[in-house]
Amino acid sequence: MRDWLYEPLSAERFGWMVLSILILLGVLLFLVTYAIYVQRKLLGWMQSRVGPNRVGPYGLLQTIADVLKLLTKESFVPTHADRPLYLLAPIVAFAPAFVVFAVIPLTDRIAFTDIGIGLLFYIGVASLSTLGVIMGGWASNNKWSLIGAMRAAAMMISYEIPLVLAALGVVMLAGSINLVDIVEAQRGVWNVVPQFVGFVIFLIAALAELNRTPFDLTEAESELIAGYQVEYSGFRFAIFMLGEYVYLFAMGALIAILYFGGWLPPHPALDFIPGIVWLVVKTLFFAYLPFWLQATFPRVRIDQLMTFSWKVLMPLALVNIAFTSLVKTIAGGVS
Amino acid sequence: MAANLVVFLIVAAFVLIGGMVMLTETRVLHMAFAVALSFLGIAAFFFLLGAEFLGVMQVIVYTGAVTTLAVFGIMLTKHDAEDPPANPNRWHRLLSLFVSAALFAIFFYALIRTPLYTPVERETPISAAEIGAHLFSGQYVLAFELIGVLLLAALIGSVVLAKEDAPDRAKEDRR
Repeated sequence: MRDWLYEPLSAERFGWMVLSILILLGVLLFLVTYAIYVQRKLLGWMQSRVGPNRVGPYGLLQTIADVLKLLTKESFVPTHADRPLYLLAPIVAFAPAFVVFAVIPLTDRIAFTDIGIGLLFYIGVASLSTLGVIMGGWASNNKWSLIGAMRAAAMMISYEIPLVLAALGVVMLAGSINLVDIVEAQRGVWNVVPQFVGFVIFLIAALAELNRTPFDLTEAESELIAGYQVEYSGFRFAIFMLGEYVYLFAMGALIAILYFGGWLPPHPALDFIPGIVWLVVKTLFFAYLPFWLQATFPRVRIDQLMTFSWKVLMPLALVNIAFTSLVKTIAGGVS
Repeated sequence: MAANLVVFLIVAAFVLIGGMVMLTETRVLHMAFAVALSFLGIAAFFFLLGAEFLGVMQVIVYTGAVTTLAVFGIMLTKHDAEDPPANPNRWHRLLSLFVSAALFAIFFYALIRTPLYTPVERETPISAAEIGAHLFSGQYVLAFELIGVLLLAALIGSVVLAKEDAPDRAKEDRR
C-alpha cells in the first residue's frame, strides 16, 4: 500500500483500485446471497421442513428474488425519526464489515494490503459497527430498537474483551500481529492444538460479536421484534443484513487464519492444492458453523450473557495468556 | 499530483467537516457522531504517515471507545434531545471572533516557527514490535507501569461506584 502513496495517481492505477474493490464487493454479494440460501435450507432440514424450493431449481434463486423485493420496497422513514442519523446508520454499520477485508490475506502473496498490524486493524475497525447499531437504534425513535441497540452495544463491548484476550495467545505464539506471520508460524502445528482453550473462547466471543444464536439478543424476534432494525425496511434493512452476513465471512476467515493455519494444508502432502482453496474451504466452514448452532441452541438471557462474558470467559482468557507466556518462557522463545 | 496528497486533501476535508458539524449542530448526539468522523480522519492521517499502530489505536480508543462512551452518556442521562440554538448578542459575537482569530494567529505562528522535522527515510513503517520494545526499555518502563497502576485504580473506582446500588444489608440491620 505504501508504494503507491508516493507515486502520481494515474487514471490507470485509480481504475485498478476501483476494479479490485468492485470485484471484492461482487464476490461478497455472491457469498452473502448464497449464505442466506444455505442458512434457510439448513434450518429447514434441521427442523424437518423443505426450505426454499420455489424460485429456480432447488430454490436457488430465492434470495435473489428476496433482494429484488427489498430493493423495490418503499424506503420508509418514520416521521419522528432522527432523519440524518437514521439514513446514515446502515452505512456506518456496513462499511467496517467491508473494510476489514482489506487486511485479510488470501494467500501469503495475495492480500489487499499487508500491513504490519493486521489483527489489530481488524479488531479496531470491526468495533466501529457498534456505532452504526447504536445510531440506528436511537434514530428510529422506537423503544424496541433502542433496547435492542443498548443490548447490542453492551454485548459487543463486553465480548470484544475476551475475543482480543483469546487472540493474544495466538499473537504470543507467533510473536507478531501480522496475519501473514501468524499463519506462517503455524507451519508445524496449527494453533488450534496448543491454543485450544483460546480457540473455544474466541469462537464463543465471535458468535456474540456476530449477534448469532445463542447470543442473538439484539434481534430476539420473540421479545424485541427485531431489535435495532425494527423501523428499517427495504434497501436500508438490506444493507444492515448485508453487513451482518459479510461479518460472518470476515470472522470465518479470521478464525481460519488465527487457529486453523489459513492457507496451509492439513498435511504437507496435500500441498498440491493451492492455498487459497484451503483458506476458502476453512472460511466457509466457520461461516457455516453459526447456522448449525442457530438450529441447536436456545437464546441466553441478557444477565446470563453479561455474567458469562465477565466472570467466565475473561478470567479463562487471562489464565490462557499467563499459561502461554509461561510455556513460551520455559521453551526459551523469548530472548 | 501524488496519491498521498489526494488522500490527504480528502481526509482533511472530512476532519474539517466533522469539526464544523460538531460546532454548528444543536443536537448533542449529532455532535458526538460528528466528532467521531473527525477522530476517524485523524486516524487516517496516522496511516498516511506510516504510523499504523497509532492509527489503529486512534480508531480503537477515540472513534470506538470514547464515542461509544459519549453516546451512552447522552442516551442514559436525562436532557432535551435538542439544545436551544445559542443566540449571542453583538458583543458576544465580536469577542468570540477576536478570541478565535487570536488563537489561530498563535497556533499559526507556532507552526511556522517550528523547524520541520525531516523524517529519516524508512523502507517499512514502524512495527508494533519496535514500539513494544521501546515501551519496555529503561526510558519508558516506569511511565508505562505508572499508567497501568492508574488504569487499575480507575477500574477499581468504577466498580466501587457501580456497586453502590446493591442493597447494603449491614446498614439496614443497624437501623
